[in-house]
Amino acid sequence: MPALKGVGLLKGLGVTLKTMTRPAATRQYPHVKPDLPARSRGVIALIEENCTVCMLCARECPDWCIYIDSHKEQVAPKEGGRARTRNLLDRFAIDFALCMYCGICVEVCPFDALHWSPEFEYAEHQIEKLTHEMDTLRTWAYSVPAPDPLEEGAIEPKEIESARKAREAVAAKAAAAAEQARAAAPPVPAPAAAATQPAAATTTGAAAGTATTTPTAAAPTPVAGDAAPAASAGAAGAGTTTAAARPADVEVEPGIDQATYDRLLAAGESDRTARAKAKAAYMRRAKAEARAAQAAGATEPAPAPAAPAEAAAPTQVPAGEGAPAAEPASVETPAAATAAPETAPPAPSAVGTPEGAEPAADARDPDARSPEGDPTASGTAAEVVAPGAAAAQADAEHLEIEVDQETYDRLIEAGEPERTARAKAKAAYARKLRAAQRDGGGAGS
Amino acid sequence: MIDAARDLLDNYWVLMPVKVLAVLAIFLTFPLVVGYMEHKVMAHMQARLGPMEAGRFHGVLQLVADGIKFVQKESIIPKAADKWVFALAPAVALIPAILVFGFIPYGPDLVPIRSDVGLFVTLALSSVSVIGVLMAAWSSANKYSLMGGIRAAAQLIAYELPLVLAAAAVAMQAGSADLAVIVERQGWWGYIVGPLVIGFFVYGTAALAELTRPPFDMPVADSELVFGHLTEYTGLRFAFFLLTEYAGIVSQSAIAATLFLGGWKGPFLDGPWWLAAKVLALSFVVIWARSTYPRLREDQLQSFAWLRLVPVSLALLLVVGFLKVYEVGI
Ligand code: SF4
Ligand code: SF4
Repeated sequence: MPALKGVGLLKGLGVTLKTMTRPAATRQYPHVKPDLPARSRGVIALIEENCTVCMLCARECPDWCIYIDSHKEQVAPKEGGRARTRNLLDRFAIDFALCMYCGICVEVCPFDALHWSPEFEYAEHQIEKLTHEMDTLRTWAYSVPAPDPLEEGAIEPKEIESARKAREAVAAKAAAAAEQARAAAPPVPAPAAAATQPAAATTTGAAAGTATTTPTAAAPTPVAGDAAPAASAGAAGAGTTTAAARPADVEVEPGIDQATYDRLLAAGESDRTARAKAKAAYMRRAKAEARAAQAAGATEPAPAPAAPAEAAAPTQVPAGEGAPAAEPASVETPAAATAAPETAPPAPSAVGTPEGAEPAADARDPDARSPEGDPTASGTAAEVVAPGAAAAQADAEHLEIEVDQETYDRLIEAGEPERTARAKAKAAYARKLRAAQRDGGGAGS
Repeated sequence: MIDAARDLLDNYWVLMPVKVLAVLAIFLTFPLVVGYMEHKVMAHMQARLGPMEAGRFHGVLQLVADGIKFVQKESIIPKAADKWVFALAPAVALIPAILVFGFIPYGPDLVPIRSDVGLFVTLALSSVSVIGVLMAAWSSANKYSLMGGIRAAAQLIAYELPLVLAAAAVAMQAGSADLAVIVERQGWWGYIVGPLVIGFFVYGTAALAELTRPPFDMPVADSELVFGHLTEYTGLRFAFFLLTEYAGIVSQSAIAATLFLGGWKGPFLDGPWWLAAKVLALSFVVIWARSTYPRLREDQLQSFAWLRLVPVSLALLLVVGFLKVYEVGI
């Protein structure tokens, strides 16, 4: 139909009339709060606990409208070591009269201290009142919405992943500990069995957030964990295994050796030191007892060095000759290899460092692994005495161990990579050395 | 009692003030109602809400608040202005607009001032307002004001013709220029059933132009002339001009309703309320047109008047006269 002249005029009337009958688009703002879009950029909020006073935001702000004041504070060292300094935030203010809401500060903050809050009703009659201080910025942080859920199949953010892993590790550990406790209960007297669980819990607590919850993770902690890694390494060498891929050692409930404590205090040590040492002494004793108890219930001894303690095929090797009296008990260790690569190196104590490095190779090559029994044995002996001594001995042994040139050449020729060849050659050397010692000095107990 | 009241009202000196007060009351209420209606209707036609705060309920007292605001404003008279003319102009515009209400028949016996030539008196009065506009334009000593005033005058001359011709057609049909008689000779459906419906549209368009209401608001075209003849006005005087505009809408609607829509007559219960309803309906249409159509160009406006409306209204006059002479009933 050809458009009749003037129809447009009527159409126009129709449009306005129709619009009149529809609800208006107006939002009655002061009476009705606007429904803002998600992630609205209303104001910059500060979570001051997260702020490390790195000053990045203040430097990147194109308007220079972020004001930060801070001072340094000494922090007492945790366990020995030197005192640290840290920055404490005194003032954090943003001048919203200057701020142009570019969001650079939020982007640049490496510690998630700055966020966009949807809050927008902070108009003022005086311009200087638009400079908002830390406390106001902090209260705004409460209205920062939670981040949107990630898409299906998105990569988990690192911090969430590690938190989850830590949680799972704790759960797994608890489960394993329960298992172990059940398994160990009949032969082992009360303290040791009871000990396993709490000890496990504490370890994970300390290590929470890191994925390394393997037994030797406890190693770096000097006092309480001291006995543990030594024993574990020893046990690894001895190759006693249970089905559980789980902590190596007897674990005992932490406590304090009151006599030591009193003595040290009397000797003028600080309370902290005295307590730590007393604790260590207590642990040592408790573990020795526990091991002795377990040794009583231990099964068949096997010649440690000879038996290639293969991870896949756990052999029960209570280190008959290799280990001193205290050791054969040497409890349940995981398949030695599982703990090996990362964990062994940090364990300074019993095992000579070469062995620490070795197991990696061992896992692949049974030939290279058998010798550990011996150094371990000495290590465990040392461990009962003092951690320091153990380390020293390990050092000494380390110096002795060198590369067996013949093996090395052979392996290189056979096409092994240099690293593997060296490792195996070292192991071979250690083996030889130990065999020589045994022949010469009757190392078997 | 009622007789006594009647006797009292027969006294001229009693009756006159009553009439004056009644007319003033109408004058003061209806334009405000229409003004408020304009705010709201226009807002909703633009998907807005319009005034919502004054008077608590949907801004019913918005115009009262506006009035108070206007009273408070400083009344500025430009230095170069012709002071007396400048000051008088709003009154010259406003008073004829009030007087028109005196001639409208509100009911069978409710005609404040009855006149044989009531139709032409009202049309003449409503045209006097343009004198006030011209005065304002000239005295403001402002080129925009002057141009606005001249445009208003030109517009008035152009549109007065079709307006009067359309009204004449009605007078011819009714056989009288007395508004009361015109209403009485109509059925309640008025004259829009028949050829005079064209007259109704011609009259409506011309009246819109006379009121300088959009889309015929070139005299105050804000994009070209700031605010035409109102540019220099502030405060109460400005308010008077605004009041004139709304009073004009009401009075023109009332005249149109009287001429074409049967005035106070209704399908039942004849009375002033019918007139009021018709006036409000027509005012609504005026506002509706305002929010629908864009402003015409000055030349379009003139050619539309002279080349369309005048011939059409002349032809209408011819047709109505023909029908009347040969007594073909409408
Ligand atoms: S949003 Fe931009 S302008 Fe505002 S404080 Fe942050 S960096 Fe500065
Ligand atoms: S960038 Fe973040 S952590 Fe650094 S000073 Fe600013 S708010 Fe604090």
